[in-house]
Amino acid sequence: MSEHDSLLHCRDVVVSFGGNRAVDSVSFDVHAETVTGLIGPNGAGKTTLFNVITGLLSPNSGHVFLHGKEITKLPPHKRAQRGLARTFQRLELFTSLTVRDNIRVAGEIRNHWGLGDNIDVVAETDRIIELIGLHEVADREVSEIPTGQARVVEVGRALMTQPRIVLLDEPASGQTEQETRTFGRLLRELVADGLTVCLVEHDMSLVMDVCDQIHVLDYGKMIAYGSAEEIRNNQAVIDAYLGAPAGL
Amino acid sequence: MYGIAASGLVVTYTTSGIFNFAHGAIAMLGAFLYWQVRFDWGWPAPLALLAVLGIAAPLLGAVLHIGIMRGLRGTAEVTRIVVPVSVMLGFLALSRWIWNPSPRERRVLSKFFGSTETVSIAGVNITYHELIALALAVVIALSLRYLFFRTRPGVAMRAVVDDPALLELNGGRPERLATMAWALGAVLAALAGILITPISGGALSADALTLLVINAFAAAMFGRLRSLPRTFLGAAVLGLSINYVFAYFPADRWTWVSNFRVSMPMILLFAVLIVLPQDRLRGATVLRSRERFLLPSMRTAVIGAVALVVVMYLLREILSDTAIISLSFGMTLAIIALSLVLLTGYAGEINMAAVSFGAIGTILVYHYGVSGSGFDARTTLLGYVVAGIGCALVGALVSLPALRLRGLYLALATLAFGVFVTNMVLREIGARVLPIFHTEFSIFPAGTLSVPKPKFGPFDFNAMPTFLMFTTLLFAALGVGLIAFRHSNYGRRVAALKDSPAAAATLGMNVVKLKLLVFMLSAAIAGVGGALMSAQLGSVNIDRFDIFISISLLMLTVVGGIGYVSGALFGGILLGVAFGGLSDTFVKLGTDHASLDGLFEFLKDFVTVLPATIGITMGKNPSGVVHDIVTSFRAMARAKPVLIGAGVLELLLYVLRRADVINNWYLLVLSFMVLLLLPVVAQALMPEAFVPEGEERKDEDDVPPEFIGIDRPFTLADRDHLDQALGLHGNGGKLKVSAGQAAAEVEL
Repeated sequence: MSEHDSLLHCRDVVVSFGGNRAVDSVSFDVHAETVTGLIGPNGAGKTTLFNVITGLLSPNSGHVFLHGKEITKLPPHKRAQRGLARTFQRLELFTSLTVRDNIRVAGEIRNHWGLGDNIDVVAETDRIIELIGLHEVADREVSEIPTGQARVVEVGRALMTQPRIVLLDEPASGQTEQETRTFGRLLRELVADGLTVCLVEHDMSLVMDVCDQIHVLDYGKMIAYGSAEEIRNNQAVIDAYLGAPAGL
Repeated sequence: MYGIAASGLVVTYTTSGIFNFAHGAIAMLGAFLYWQVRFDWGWPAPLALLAVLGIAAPLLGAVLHIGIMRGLRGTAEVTRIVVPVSVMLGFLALSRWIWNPSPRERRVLSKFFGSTETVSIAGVNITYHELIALALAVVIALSLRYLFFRTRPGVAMRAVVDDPALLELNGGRPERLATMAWALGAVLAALAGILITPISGGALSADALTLLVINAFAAAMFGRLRSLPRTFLGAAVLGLSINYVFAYFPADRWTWVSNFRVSMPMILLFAVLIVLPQDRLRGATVLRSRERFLLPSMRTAVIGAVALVVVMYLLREILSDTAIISLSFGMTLAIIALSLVLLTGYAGEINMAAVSFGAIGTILVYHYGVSGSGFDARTTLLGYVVAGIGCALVGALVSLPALRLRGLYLALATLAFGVFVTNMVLREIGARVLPIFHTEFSIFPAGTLSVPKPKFGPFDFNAMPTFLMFTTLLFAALGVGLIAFRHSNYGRRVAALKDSPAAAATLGMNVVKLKLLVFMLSAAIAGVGGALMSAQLGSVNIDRFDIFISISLLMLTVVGGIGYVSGALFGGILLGVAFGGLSDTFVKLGTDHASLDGLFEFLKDFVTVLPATIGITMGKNPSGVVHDIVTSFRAMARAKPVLIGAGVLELLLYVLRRADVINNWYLLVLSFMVLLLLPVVAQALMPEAFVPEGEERKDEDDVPPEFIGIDRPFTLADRDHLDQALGLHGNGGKLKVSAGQAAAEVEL
């Protein structure tokens, strides 16, 4: 893999909270039309890194590039307008809207970017709801549906902005095994259609299943990266993260 | 001095997360109480201080927290602002009740050790009082620092804010600590009140002391409401700059200097707001806030609007002239309250100075919208358009620095703006020569503006009944417009912004731009509503635009239901008609029945405290009164025959009134009874309408889940039901343990 097909590139990102280095000079690439996994124990700095990439948090130092252009100083909405979307580990749904309106409003926000290439919001909402398989709960209040489905709503909402790359923060937690399998298939379909995905996930079966590349974070440092097979057999990962291969 | 007041504010904010708007009011009560025991009852100073600072103030703070503020955890920011504001209004009304605001003698707090005893330090004469204040400020600063960083309760107090649940698990008692913090805050406030009053002239003034909170928060803002050292620094800067303005700006040449001096804290606050860096965008503050607003469909909205206009038309026919006057005053207030529904209910931002925008609107209409003279004078449509646009622009200017920050800062900025308008703009009563145009111009000539009624083209709204219908129609139209707005893609985007700014931004929304748009729209509505209010009154003076009126209106609208257009109607009518009407009624009853004068006097005063009491109960029911009515009537929608019956009954009552069989009082009381009995009667006659659809299975299966398998066998249906309740959809009963959890277990 060479530099030029890297869609998202982080270089030497550092984030400190007080004296604690949550992210300690992390560099990594997400290549176009792949699924890149980002794993590590709780508190390893995965969500913090997502916040830096999407602009919710400014790093103490380091750079973020999208399509080879630096976006480190851009506000969050400008980054989204360049094709970056995300979901949240702690759900951030619009609780006063229905499932359908949660997804629809994302398209309406997109149509106000001023890019000119507006989408047909109603038709696209229907398509996405069908795609993520939520047509049965589409007209329910979003606060009424179970967490597993709520995470899928977040994914649908992110897809509605027609992004090039989606950052998914633990999309499978709270999902049943069945839901996770369906979700994995959905991810592969989306990537086959040209989407790029960066995935933070604790569910190893999903990670090993869908990821082309995996990066492992521990205490804010990147300790390993490689294919699923390489990570599965990487001694440093097993020591630092799993302690024993039992989890696999 | 500002330092002491501001540190108390910071203490309560950091420990309970509630910005204590009643801080100034507590200072005020402290000062009044001290005056009472020290000067009226003649207690010696140390004893009086002990009574006020050692007993009364901490007790007040503790009771405030236990009784009211504790219930505010998990509510939206709006509720957390409105409840302390209600407390502030309550204290203010209470102090007016106890201490007659226009006493025969001025209440004077003299300085400790008199004002003649001075010491000379480095060539400057300082009174002992000032010296004590200065020393106390330093001592308090140091001991607070010590308390928070070196002692166990202090550290625990800081922990309360971060995570009360975690602290509780670690053996802390968050509620007791927060109570202590509130007691401490109240003592600091009372001390500040007692110290400040003699320095700023000595005469006790309830309003001025209550607004002290603004000076205090200007100082607290230097420390972003967190840092105590920076708060004291801010207080010093504030105090010095006020004195420099006083000393070096020639008051005889610039008549605005004394007003400017009063506005100093507000101006400084704005400066700080502009300098503060942008807040981190946050997600939802509470995962599932207790406020829930139902959105009416367009059909319901239009039916409601038509019903309102019809009812108002029918009422107009039977009401006395005075009732029509107060009702139309209420309607203009309701229009101002609509601006709050848009801003606060839909967008989650707070404007505490809606009526001040009304003042700007009034000034614009007065200057640019009056045609004709004498009895023929009318305000023109153009005038109201100018008022709307002008207020939108002013609104943009006011809100822009604060919109980058959290909701609380916008609330504070608007509060400062409101006081600024009262102190500087509305006091501009003399003519000035404009520097560029060289023409004479006065913003608020002679302190009173006479604003005639509107006349748009062929429609003349001079007669009060016509004006009432006009304002009702306008309210109905704006209300339907707002609901349409909420149904539009703008409305959905605003709702998204309110629910999660962080998610909205990562979807590509320019959050500040949308907030600004909503604020401008809201300011325009408030401006037009305020101009209409002035037109209704005919002539207005500075008192009509007092900041406390804005705050009362906000409070009553929130009580009514800030997410509902009808909440605005509730708030406006209640403020304009009900409370004014009630206290007038009691005054009249008092004069009519001289022997019961004392009782009616009490009731009259009680009515002034009443709105605040209602506001305080918000902590228990944050969605508002209208929400309760809507939910209870929703069920009744299925019991149509009963509804129709009630409608016919009401109509019958109205016809009887028109035929003069019964008078207005009978109509009022009987209608009220019909409304109250409606749910009861409906339930008795048509019980089947009240079984909610989704809950039929409850009747056949009322075995609690823990007894399933004991009282009756465990079935597949039960398992599915439990799965659903636990969010494990369609999972074959097998729990999935994710590798992350497994890993965590291995680590242990």
